[in-house]
Amino acid sequence: MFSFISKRLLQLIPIILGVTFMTFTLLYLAPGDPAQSRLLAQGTVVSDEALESTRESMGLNEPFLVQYWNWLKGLLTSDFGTSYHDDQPVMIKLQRAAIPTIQLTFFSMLITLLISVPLGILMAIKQNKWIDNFIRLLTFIGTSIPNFMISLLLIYVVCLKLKLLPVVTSGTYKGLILPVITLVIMQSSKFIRQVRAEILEQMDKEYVLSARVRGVKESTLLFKNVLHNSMITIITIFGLSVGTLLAGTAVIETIFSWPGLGKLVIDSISYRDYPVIQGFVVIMATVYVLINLFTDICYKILDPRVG
Amino acid sequence: MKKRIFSLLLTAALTLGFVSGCSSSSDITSSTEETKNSSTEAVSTGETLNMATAFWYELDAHKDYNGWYSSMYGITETLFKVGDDYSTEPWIAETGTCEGNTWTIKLKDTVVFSNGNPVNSSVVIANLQRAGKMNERAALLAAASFEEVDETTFKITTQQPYPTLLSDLTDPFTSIMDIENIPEDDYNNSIIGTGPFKLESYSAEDKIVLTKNENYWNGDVILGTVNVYYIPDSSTESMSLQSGEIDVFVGPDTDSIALFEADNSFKVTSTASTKAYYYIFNMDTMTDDAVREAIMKSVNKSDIVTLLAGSIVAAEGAYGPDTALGAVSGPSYDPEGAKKILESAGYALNKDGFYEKDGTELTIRIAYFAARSIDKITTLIQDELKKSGINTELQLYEDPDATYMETGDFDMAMYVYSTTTSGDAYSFLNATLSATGNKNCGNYNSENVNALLNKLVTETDSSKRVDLSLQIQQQVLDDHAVGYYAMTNKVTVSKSTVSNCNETNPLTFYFLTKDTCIG
Repeated sequence: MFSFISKRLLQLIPIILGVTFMTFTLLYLAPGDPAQSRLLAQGTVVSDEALESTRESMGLNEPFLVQYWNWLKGLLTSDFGTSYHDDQPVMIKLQRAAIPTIQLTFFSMLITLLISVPLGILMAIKQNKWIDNFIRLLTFIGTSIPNFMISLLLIYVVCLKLKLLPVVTSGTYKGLILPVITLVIMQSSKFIRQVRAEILEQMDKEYVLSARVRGVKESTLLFKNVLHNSMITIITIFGLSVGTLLAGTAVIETIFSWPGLGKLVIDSISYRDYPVIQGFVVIMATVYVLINLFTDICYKILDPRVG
Repeated sequence: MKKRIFSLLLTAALTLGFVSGCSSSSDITSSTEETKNSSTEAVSTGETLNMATAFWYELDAHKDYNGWYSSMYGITETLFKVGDDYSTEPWIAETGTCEGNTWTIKLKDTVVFSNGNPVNSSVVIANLQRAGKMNERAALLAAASFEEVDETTFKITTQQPYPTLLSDLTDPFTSIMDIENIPEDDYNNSIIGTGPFKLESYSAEDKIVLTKNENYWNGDVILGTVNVYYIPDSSTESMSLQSGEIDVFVGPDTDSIALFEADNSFKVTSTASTKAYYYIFNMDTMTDDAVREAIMKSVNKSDIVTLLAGSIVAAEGAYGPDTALGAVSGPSYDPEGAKKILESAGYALNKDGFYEKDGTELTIRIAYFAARSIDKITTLIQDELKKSGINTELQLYEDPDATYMETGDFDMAMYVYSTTTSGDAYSFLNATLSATGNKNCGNYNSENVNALLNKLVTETDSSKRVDLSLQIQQQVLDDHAVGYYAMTNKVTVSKSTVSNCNETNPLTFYFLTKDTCIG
């Protein structure tokens, strides 16, 4: 197990190098540059001298590989550099944005898990009955409505009409409720159907038939065998979702004024804020590798036959 | 006798109670010293105002555009400010006079920082020097030399004539702060300015709390506290106002404007801002003046205004239609006239309903980017040009910095620019219309305009500067080189009882004042 984990962690190095180099190249090739974005932020004309002076101070006149190497050198000493947009240390900006995103991810994934697995099982057991059809209809609606629409509807109904929560939550825990509900609706709508499909697939297998023939109780069969065997797929789905959520959901964070990673990185792309984008890419590459590692470890525990 | 005295006192108390609160009546006597700029004398209510901002900047006013926000929040002020009609007005400074390359500026002797420290010449010089070092847009200040004459008088000498110095000193990056008493790396938590409000707390991308500056040099401040919430989404801002959690914000989206206008419990104030919507022609490819004129006659400004429902106002020039700088006149909407012009120039309609000449269909490549409603406007213009028999090919770019215009790969390019932040037109006109202008992406080159711009460089008389700016814009319109068609509105939406948020000033960095109140 130790060598397995070490090998996976070592894979981080080429992954980070590859991803950051590709990102840096794409940003470099994109029209505009950080100096222009910074000086033209309020839509005013600026002189060529001001632009050149800003480019010089940002090191943007260096050749592409020199710029990338300078950034990489900083990374080796855990210095992600300073933001091109506001000169703040990148690490501080990312840390500040990561905490709200982690909170959002944790609560939404927990609730999604608690809703999706039981409902998926219920739908599988009651396949094609009214409860199955009803929940499927709800999941269809949940998947069809765009996330920004769900967000705005929730604010309108819950905050404006029913006055159950304030619109302005200013970083309090009340501010988590509606964005978590939005994410739960979006995620559950997909997961419930995937859990249902996986359970149904397992229940069609021969071991289930032979267990039934031997007189094994249905509940025992379901929770000790079918669910256990479905966990690999379920863990895979959830693992991927955690990674996606940790990357942040910019639209939801913007609407709910939740200062997470998604909004930070979208704004950084507009500003051509290379250091922040590169820092984000490094962190997300690390997160995805760790999540995949955790998922693989779970596989091994659940099913030792997995290589 | 006692009863009579008591009655008199009671009457006096009731009278005072009646005239106190949020009122701009000149009957109320302020206990503070009157100043030249104070036109209202009101009693402090100590109330709390909740406002929203869609953009988050730090508070070191000398850096980048941070000063726009420290000014908006009423924390910092500049030596001069821009009036509602783009005029330059005294603020912390009293007067500014020019002789050759040297400006002499006299400060008001009543100005103090929120911590009570006085504002004097050496403090102001230190601020301007710091701004010159820190802000790339302050190149002229960086190269200037300063001389302290006395406590309230100093001189600025520039390497070449600088007729717009006073208007450039309205830019918030020249804000005056007590820089000696602010830790260099902690402006966000420690900023000290001269404005009606001082910083109480700062929570990044979340909330700023401001409290009344008890030492404000320009009169008593009505409000006690202001909470500034960061709400980046305009729909969320609108719902926050509707729920009563905020009292005012600037910049609602188009749909919300109609919603608030229909409800008497809210107030919507629109003023033409300094952002101009316009299109330019590529003078290297659009060589036929008849075609350019026909296009300008085909664009219906009122249709565009209707499309963007309240968020813009039609304009003839690059400045507010009700301002002195905006008093120009371009080709009026006349699609039939446009067709006649094209036909006189030898164009004829083909079977597809588009004009062609010598077997080549007239097709205009329009470059634009999809933000600030430019995409909606471009689609509308495409439709209007079609009615005039002009075919178009739209080229959409994901490029808010407008580098797509610098390639020259267009016949017509759409953009929106802030045309002044100081009330003076020279920077924008020079950059976009001078033969050597760095934003003259259409390669427009007019001897007359270049000569007028050269005069503007050295002209010190403000009314002559306005006249020169008008002549430049008119020449450009007569040459059919640029089509200015609208100015964005600075739209302030608030509860009906909120007032004095600089609603009528075209610049967004003037917002909170000592007279801002909830009523």
